[in-house]
Amino acid sequence: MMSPLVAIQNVSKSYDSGKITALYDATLSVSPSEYIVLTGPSGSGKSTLMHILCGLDFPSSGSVFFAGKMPAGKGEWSRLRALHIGFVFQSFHLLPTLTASENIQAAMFGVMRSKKERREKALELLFRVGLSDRRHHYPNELSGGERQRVAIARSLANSPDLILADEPTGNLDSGSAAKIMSLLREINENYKTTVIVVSHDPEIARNADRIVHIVDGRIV
Amino acid sequence: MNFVSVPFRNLIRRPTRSMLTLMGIAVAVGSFIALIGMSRGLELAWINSVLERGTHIAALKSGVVEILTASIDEKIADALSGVDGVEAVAGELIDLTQLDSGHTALVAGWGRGSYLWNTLHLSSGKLPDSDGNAIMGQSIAESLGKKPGDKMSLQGRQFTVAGVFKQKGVMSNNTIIIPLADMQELMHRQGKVTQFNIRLKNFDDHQQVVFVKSRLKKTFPELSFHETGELTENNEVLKLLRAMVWGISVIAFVMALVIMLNTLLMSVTERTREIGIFSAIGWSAGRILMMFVLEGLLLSVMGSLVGGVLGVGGLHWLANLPRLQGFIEFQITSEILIPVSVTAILLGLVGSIYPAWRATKLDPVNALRAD
Repeated sequence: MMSPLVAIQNVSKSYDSGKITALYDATLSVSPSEYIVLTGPSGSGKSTLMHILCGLDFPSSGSVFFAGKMPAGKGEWSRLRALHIGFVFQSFHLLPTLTASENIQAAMFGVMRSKKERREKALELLFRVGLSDRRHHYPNELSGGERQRVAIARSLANSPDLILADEPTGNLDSGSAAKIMSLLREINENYKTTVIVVSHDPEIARNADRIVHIVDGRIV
Repeated sequence: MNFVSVPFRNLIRRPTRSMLTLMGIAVAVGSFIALIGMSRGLELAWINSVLERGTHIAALKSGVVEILTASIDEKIADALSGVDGVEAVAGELIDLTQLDSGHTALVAGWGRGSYLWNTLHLSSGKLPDSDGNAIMGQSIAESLGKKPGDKMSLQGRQFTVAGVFKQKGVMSNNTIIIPLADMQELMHRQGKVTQFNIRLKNFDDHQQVVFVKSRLKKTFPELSFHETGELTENNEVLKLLRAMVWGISVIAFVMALVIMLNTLLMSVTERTREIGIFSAIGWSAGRILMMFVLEGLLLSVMGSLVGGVLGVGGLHWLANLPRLQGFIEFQITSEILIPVSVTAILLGLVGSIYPAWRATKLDPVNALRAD
């Protein structure tokens, strides 16, 4: 069996001095090039699990592994996110002061040294998501679907091993949502990038290699 | 796009706030440059006016803060002239006087036969040859619209303008000179002078100057003796002016620092979600900190540039205003510009470090959820 790209072992997460528990003793292993959908009702702990998987949040107990190693702290997780993890959010989370192309380039600082290299890579990614002609547009000049495609292009900036998508179609109409999901699937199939999608939409879950259900903070 | 573009864009896309902060820094820098420039200019004008007269040592009344109010017996001049190494002594009574036209001018009284008359560069007319005659500097003559032969009224007394002179220093060019006896009568200070101008025989020999000065000090303990260059250093009024200039500048800089802190802290609060995004895409805490520090530095660098232009431009504008032409002299040197620019840049650094540090301490998950 292939060693997992990312794994959690007996992870629990509680807030407010233990009064609120978001995750209970969760164990999950994700193999390279898997396409997983995390489903569950609102407040079930899906987003908490996703944040822990990429080091944006830390477990109260248990262990998190990335490529077989336990990252040491915030600094190492930052480096891992820059080099190996791409993000796609429900609210797109593009930087409003930067154009589509610059939003993608911003993810490459510290990874690609040359300005020309960053610019060319951004153009290539925008072409890949079908937005070459929108490269100089600011986020507020783009439609919801276009913004999400820019976000996907940004997530691919450093050729990541893992893409985490948190409700990527939550703010999109059905047409745009279908395009976004097929784009993510295409990335997974063509580049063997591991994709973890958080969604409560059963339609999205249907295309997954594996569906992970979370209910009341427990993986079931 | 390079890294500096990111903070630069942040500033450009929030033009009103960036401009207001920039102007806060620019006003602090500009007022500092203008105030220091004018104060230095005043000192320079004073030194120039004394140097132009060929005065090597000025004798003032000891312990007096405001020299214009000092009174020294004019007869001391003879005793001063007798000191070995002294070439000439010229008593002078000076006062700031309101003219009957409403203008305020520096009026000086010089004795007949004083060497000071020979140092004036006449542009028209002649030197006063009798009581009731006055000679005036070009700036004050232009300001009053007077030329040789015209009448002018001083403290209710009529004077005839004998001539107009043009010196290098603005202070000299704004001075009216009348015979000493007339001045003493006008000021009701008969037999008194404000200071003595002393010319030395061997001014180029500094040892000799020090020697004569110490001899003068010993012989006339009621007087203080100052070489020309020391005049501004020891002047209490100028010391007060310098202290005021520094005080105002410090206040302006503290205000600019508060504005900078406020702007960047507001920026951190408003951009909480953006900070979360930077964190999510793998920016390290150091890079996020650097972005805010660079924003502060960009603001302060641009603020000091604009402030420099405002300060120097403002002084030029003031100096060329028809009403002030010839009254304001200023001196802007790299000794003023470099420290003020460095201070403004340090201000940007200090004002941005705390907000930047706050930004790095934000919890990225909460930051991403922020509105």
